[in-house]
Amino acid sequence: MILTFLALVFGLHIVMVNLGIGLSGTVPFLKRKAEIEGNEEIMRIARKSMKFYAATYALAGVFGTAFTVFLLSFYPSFIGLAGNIALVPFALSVCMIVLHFLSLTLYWYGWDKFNSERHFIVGLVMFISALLIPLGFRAIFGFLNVPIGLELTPKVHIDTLKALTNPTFLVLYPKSITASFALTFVILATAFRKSEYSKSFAKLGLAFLILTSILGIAYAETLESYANYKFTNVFGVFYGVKPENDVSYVFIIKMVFLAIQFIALMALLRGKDKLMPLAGFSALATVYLGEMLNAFSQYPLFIANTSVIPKEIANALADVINMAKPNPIATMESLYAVTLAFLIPLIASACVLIYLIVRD
Amino acid sequence: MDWASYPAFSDRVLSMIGIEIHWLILQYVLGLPLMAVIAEAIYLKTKDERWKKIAKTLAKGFVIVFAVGAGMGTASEFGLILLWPNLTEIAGKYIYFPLYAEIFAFMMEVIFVYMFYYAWDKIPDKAHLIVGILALTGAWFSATMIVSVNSYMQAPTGIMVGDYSMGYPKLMLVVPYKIASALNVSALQSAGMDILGTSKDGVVVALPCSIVKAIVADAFSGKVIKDSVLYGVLNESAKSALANVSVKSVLDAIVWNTVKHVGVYTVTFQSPVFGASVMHAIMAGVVVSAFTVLASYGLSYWRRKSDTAVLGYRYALIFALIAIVLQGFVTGHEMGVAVAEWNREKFATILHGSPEFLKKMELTLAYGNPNVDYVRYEDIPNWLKPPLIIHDLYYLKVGLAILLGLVALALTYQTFVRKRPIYSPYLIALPVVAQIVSFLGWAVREMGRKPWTVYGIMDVKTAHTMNPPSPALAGLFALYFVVLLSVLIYAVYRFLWRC
Repeated sequence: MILTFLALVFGLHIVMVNLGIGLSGTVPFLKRKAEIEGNEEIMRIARKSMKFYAATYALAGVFGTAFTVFLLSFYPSFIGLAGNIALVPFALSVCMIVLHFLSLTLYWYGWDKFNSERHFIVGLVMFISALLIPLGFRAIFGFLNVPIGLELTPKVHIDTLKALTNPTFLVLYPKSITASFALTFVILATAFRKSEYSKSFAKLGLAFLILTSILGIAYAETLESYANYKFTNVFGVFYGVKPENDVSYVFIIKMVFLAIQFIALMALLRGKDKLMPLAGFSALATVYLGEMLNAFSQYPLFIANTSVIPKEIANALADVINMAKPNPIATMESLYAVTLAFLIPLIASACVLIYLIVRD
Repeated sequence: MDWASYPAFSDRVLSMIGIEIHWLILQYVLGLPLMAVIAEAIYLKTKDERWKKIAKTLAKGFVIVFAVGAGMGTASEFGLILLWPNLTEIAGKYIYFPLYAEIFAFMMEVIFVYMFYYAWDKIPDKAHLIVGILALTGAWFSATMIVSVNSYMQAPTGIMVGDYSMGYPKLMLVVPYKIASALNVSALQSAGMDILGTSKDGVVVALPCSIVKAIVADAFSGKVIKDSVLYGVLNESAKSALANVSVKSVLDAIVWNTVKHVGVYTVTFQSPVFGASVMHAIMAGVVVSAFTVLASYGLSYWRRKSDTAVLGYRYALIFALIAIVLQGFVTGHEMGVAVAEWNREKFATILHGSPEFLKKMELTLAYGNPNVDYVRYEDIPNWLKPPLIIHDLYYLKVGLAILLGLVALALTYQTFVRKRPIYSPYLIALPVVAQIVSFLGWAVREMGRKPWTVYGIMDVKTAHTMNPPSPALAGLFALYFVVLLSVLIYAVYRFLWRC
């Protein structure tokens, strides 16, 4: 049940922030283009997209906070350890989150109040901060694949520069960004499928999907070399190696959703838009499943490859980095009931909010 | 004691700035929805469009600031994790529930605050009003959860105050029978431990906080029992068997057992200062919001005469007057009584050096008796002394709050009795003073808790990260947040007050 809650809130967070990163990069350029060309249709698309983002970014944030607090409640010692050693990467992300929220506020509420150039600059700040938020977080994810940059002297800490050279991070970060844009363009192609610009969005969506797929293959290769436990759990069954925790079925489902997007986008380019709602859903599902695959392929380990940590330290941390050993007073059925009693109506209300925003 | 002399000075300042910016903003999320919902209810009753306009403007106000407030909330959360990871760990381990429940409150806030703003005229009026009430409920629910954790940090459930020479303050703990059987009871009793009784969960004891603090410090420095203070209070037979057991695992077993005994879901709400704290905190948000709205409508009328501004000004003025009276005479009083009872060192430090008449007045308010025998600053053992600066901060806070109340009274007289309201750009000083008062209240509360991070349990040094940022880096972070706050204030002025 714990893992279900973590998967739910983390998955929702990731899907929404992926869309947020893409929209932060797309809207300022669309609006600028519309202003330069005097194109009302592009302006309409930009404004509607930004309105959606301005009204829902906080939902993405709240699910991220929920994930952190759930982790803190279920795995407090792991969070304590992370807090003690990971100052710089987390601090970078947090500073960018605050800057992003501020620039987003300025961009949306200043839509008709700034002149075009100034507004575009605010949009660029919004975009750049959106790109930098995942930099720190993905550095931590890379560290959780293989703890490159873990220094033991003078005290245990992460050397950020070394952590940024982690081969799994070097592929995971750009893959995350291209996946954000792939998702965003597929969603834009779906939402504005009747617009004359739907084909442009479809082409961009296809380009980013191809790029993400290439980076996905590269990421799998780095996992094979640096976090083989994880790689085997995803791909082991395909080449006859028995995984400890087989999650290959998640990968297969993800590939099906990916294929649907390709087919639907190709159809849209030929003038058929019937499959686009399914493509939009598939895009969201692909991002969700990709994140689940990355997180749960290393279950029950918070750090997939501990072979680079000295044995005595790895032994001392064995319980702390073990997802199968949660906080005993947070694993009560009554707590699960409370969680469901709140989450179900709140997620339903969030859907109503999104419906009210996209309705007009 | 000098406030700077306690450990981790620069990180305490950084935390103070980060959390204060978060608090400065979120007070509007506590107060403005209340004002907006009441304004909308009046509109539904009277159908006077001016009330709808007021409600909409207030809603726009809290939606604009909410983004950065939420961002700063995330920053505060990560700030706690990164600067005070051991505090965060014990919060997650032992008193996680209010933090967990706060997530649902935060979701409620996010969903209904935005729905209140974006669903105007898209859903029926009464449904919209209910959405507003849910937004307000989310905000207050959220504040209640967070303040409960903070209350636990001020006076944890099971804390006992008393004579310092008898080992007080002490903390009630329920020691599992298995652990109790390994302890040398007479050694512990000679160190000040009292046995309060037994229960099905274990032996109920009152352990001096000096010992609790030492055990917690040993646990978080990774010690095993043979290197810890615990070793000295074990039975001879247990010493060899438990020598290499980690202190943290023993601490976990005792505290988990205690929390289960007290109530996993209710432990923080049973803090003796919780009720007063939550009322005082929420009312602070209402006071700040009311004075801010008062100033903005005063300024608005001064710039551009309008009927709506007149009505908004009168509405905010009544709100401000009621709020500051309640804050001063009800919630503030209750808070003072709770501090005098449960945070005696803080109360003694506030009184230290005060003129005699003021001391007698404070003692009368706190205990109902000006001649009561109270703890004096000189009576406090050195290791428990809070910083003296809170004396000055407290009286500055009270003085400014009284001034604010008098100004509200004078403006009410001018507006409703003499019928000559004052619309002036100088009204902008009111929210600034209200914010300063609110900040000083938290400063006295938080700085006055030193040398503790969690009173009686964890000191500042133990809570602190093993890898702190350099003072220069901490200063840079602080500057960054202050600059962003300045931009937000300008944005609110530009998008709301000038429009």
